[in-house]
Amino acid sequence: MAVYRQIYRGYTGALTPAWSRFSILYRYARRTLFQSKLLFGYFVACFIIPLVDLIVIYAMNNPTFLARLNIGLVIHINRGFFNSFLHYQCFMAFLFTAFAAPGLISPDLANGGLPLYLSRPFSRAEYLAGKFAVLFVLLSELTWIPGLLLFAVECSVGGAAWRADNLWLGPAIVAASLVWIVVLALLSLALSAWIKWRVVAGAALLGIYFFGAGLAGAVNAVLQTQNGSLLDFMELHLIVWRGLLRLPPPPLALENEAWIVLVVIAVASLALILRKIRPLEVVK
Amino acid sequence: MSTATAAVSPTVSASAGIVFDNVCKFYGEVLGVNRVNLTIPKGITSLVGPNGSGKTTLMNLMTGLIRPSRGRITVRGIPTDDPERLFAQVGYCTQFDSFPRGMTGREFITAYLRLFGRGADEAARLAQSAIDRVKLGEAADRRLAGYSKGMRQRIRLAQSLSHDPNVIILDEPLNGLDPLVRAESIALFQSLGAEGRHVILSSHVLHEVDAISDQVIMLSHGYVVAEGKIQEVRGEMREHPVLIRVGCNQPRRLAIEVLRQPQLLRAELIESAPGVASGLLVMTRDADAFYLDLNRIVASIPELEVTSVAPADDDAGSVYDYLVGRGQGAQS
Amino acid sequence: MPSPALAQITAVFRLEVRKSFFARRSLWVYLLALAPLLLFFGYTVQTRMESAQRQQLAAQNQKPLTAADFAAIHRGMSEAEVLSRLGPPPRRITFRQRRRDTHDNIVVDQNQWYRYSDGSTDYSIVIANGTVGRIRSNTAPSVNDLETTFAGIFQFFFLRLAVFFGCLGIFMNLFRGELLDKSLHFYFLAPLRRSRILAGKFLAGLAAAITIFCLSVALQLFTLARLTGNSLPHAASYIAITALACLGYGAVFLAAGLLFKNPVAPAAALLVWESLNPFLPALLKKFSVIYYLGQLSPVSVASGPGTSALFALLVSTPDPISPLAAILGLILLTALVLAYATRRVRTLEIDYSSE
Repeated sequence: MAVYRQIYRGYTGALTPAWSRFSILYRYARRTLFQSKLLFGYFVACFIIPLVDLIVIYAMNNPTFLARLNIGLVIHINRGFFNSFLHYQCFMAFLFTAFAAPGLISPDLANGGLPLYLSRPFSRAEYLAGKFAVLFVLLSELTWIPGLLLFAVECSVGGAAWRADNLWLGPAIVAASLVWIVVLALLSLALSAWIKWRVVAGAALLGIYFFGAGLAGAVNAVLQTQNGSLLDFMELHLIVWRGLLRLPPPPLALENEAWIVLVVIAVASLALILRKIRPLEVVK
Repeated sequence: MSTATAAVSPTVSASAGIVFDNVCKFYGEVLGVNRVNLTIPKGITSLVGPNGSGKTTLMNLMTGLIRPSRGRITVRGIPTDDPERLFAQVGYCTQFDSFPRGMTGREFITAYLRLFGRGADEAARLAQSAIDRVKLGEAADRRLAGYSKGMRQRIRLAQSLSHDPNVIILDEPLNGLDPLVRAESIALFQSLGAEGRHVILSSHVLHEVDAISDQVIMLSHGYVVAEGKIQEVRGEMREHPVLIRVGCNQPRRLAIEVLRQPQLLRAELIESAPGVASGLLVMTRDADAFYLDLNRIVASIPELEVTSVAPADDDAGSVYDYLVGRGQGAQS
Repeated sequence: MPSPALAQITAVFRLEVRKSFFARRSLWVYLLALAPLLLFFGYTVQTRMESAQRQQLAAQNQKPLTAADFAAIHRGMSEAEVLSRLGPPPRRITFRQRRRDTHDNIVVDQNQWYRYSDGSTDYSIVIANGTVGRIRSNTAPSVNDLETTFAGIFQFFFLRLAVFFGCLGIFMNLFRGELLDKSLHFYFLAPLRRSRILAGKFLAGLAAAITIFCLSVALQLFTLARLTGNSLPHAASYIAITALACLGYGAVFLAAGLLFKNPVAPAAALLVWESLNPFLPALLKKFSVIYYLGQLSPVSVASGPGTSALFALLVSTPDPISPLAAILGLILLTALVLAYATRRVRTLEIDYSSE
């Protein structure tokens, strides 16, 4: 004979719908990231460039204001302007990623947290989507959303002619930003998954950016070529953006090659992430 | 009994013991330990208290791994910021379960001994001796990464003993050990204590330390709540009634007799099987009076046979519960 | 019989040197050291292939050509004129080039690329729409060219990035890595002064950094020497500068590893500080490693490849100081940083929970 005391009662409350379950990770990760005052301060500081650009757009469309300031400087609000905006804003977003992204996956792997996630009704894809969503949303807030706002402001103050000529620029800004966000997010998540220490993962991301740029310059200088630019993470995007923003191509445009390298980086990063995010642990 | 605010015990000379002089440690705004005045003599001293009570903080303070926010600590007269002299005397087996990468157990101990400036041969000899002492001979040449939890615990213990220190500090040394190794380790600690060394160990499992400790230091929320021999500490706690267990053949009869005593608060039958009483648990305000009265009762009732009389609440767990209040006591 | 201090420092050194060379966390340092070597190896292969190609092209010319023949070719000249002066090119490539016209439409041009050689120089002439569009000449590099190229890469890539990040990896690992691994307490529980732990660790890191990077420089110079047939001048200077760079950056990153939980932020700040060095006032320049290394460089390179004219204007050239003063300055800077690190390590507490 056995006596069983039935005291356990399973949870019977409402569940987050399966399709949006990944967003739980996003919500918690965002809250954790912004607990750091330094990171939050930097995130806010990233909006200085859009703010300055907003003032520039206002000033350049307001002759009275310019005349009152007595400044002879004329900045054309065109595809070059938005290219510069993306260049500087994406660099700021990169530094933000270098501090924010390494902590997304590496602590889960270092502390054995992954089995806890995957032992619940939560798939690998949902886990990855949740972590990706953190970077996707934050980087969107830093890049194409302010870019699109600036574009909208210029559309409203620049007149019908500007609007008619440059309507394609809005989607181009979004597309250029999305290329940056997707590649950067996948690369940084791959580093976070493969490097146990978040500090080292952050350093590796910075190293890829700065050392890659240096190596690209060295290759171009020594081998008298432009192909070295394919080693420069920022330059790859600048080449691609030139095409998307319909800027005149440089003498030796590497647009196709740049697209190929970016796709290779993204696919390789995804493969690395999927290889590491597994519901089992190999103990050596 | 001496409490956290009590003066340094005059019976132990400062240079012979481990002395905490009004020591406080804060981690930012978080209290580690506060106003600790202690002198730890030779023999086995146990630091007891639940997780977070300040045991490890106290051990880290006496080895200089952390520095006191206020106060001064000396170990056999040596300040803790003088590692050269301090660690010639002290061996510390920490709770940190991590090791330098890529080493075997033997290399781990030998490398540590070489840091003392000892030659290769002497380091190898001392390492072997320490390995033998913790009975890890077969695994000594295997990589540390492949060790079980118990083996990692033992190799850390071997390392802390390898240079033959006078003061041995062991943070939760019985964690992860199987019963056999546990018993061997306890015997080792007892032999070290018997050799006249300072053996300071921490545990949150109070009954474990009862058997081996010469004295205990009880900690709660960063404060020392009691120190000394456990029975003496219990004896000092006059505000708490004493529980005494009496084994006898007629517990019901004995209960009727003892309940006549005015100082007796409670008498409870101890059942060895349902409906079969084998003894009596009494709670009294005056133990001495109870013992005298028990003698009288036994003499007056010839058929009453008392087989055992023993205090039931002078173990570390009961004392700790009395001191810090039930519900927040350590496991016992 | 060595003194106890020396024996203890040697014991720390022995433990650390193995980690510094073979720590999995620092294996990428070898990639940094290998990158310029691969670059110069590629350069050697490329130069040799180009030289062979020049000879081949020159042999295929319809008539012997000299530099004077090519000097007569200029932009706007017709394709027929080029062919009459130089003859048919030994190599002709047709290629399409996209450009945008004034109405922002993409236009595809059908262009010709003629390649000639006089044996020592090869000439690329682009014929667009029947006229000469662009002329490029490419001569085999002289020893002087190689020296300048090497100096540029050495100063702007090798020292500022490869050695910088390499030292970051090696020296930050010495203390911060042990804190991450939760194994620093083993040193702190041994009867040796913490200053000796620091000395042993620093020397081990220095040995690894100097070996890896000086070997890299030596192999780079050897690769280029194989190309020219003669060794490049100032080889010893470059190796010595590399060793001094390891010393300076090593001390700075060792101290940073003791000071900061996350070394990424100080490393980025230091990288910016070192990069800004040419633009800093004279006094502030002295508080950087690159200032002293720049003073010691045997070949002066004004600015890195790709520096804009605006930035070039901002570059302030410091008063030159003697090599001895530069070496002493760097050693003094290192000593000051190490003294601070020693002070810091004496009060360092073991608290792995915050790592």
